Amino acid sequence: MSTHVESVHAEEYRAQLARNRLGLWLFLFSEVFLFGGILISRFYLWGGTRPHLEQLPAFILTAALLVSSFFMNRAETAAAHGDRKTFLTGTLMTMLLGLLFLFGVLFVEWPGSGLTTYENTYGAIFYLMTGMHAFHVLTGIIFLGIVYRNGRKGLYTPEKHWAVEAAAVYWHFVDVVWIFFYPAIYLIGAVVGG
Amino acid sequence: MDERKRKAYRTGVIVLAVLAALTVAEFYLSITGLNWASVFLTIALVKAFLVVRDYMHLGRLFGEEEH
Repeated sequence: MSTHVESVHAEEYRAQLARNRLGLWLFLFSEVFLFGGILISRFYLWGGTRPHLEQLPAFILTAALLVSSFFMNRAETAAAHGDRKTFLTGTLMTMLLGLLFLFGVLFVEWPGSGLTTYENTYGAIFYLMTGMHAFHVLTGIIFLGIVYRNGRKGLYTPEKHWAVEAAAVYWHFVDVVWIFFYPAIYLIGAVVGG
Repeated sequence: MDERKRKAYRTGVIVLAVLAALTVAEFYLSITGLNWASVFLTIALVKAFLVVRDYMHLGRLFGEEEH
């Protein structure tokens, strides 16, 4: 009898998990339109040009975000296999690298760009792209903070850790956005000014 | 460590290595003065594909992949 009940619960959980995944991906799909629109605006307004921006800090921040995705993947894999220590360490590393990226954008990239939000399209698009992305990094860090706190309380099991999976997928999505934004802002086009 | 976990960790490392190599390639292509948007966007598409497939596990949405 109890085995039957457990089996029914497991089946219900699997069905709910499938719905959760679909909901999350639909949300991310809607985000693609937001970021896609911003990316198209960049190519429409900047064309084959870009503002003069320091390359090395942006490269370092990009590397930090890519490595954070690696740690998030490791953390999620660990959660799925009951390795709590690796899960917590990976989540913490992801948050720290996310904070490094966020502070780097806010306190290195923005002041060092020499651009303003209102003078021309270079500044407007630069702040729109980096600002909207940084806001998503911030929400991702908050999400990860909640997951980390719950993880410390031992609320996740290898069978039930949807929040970890959702936080990981969201974080990787933020990384994917930057994979397109980084070349669009810093690499593509002839430098004007500076 | 069971084999599935080891394989998942290994995939994570391989993807990171490829992402790192492509990002360094982008950076050097840019400072050498190459200005082809199509090259950079192709590299970005390859990187995004790897992240979506191996880190975001898109296959789970269609029940093709589990932990």
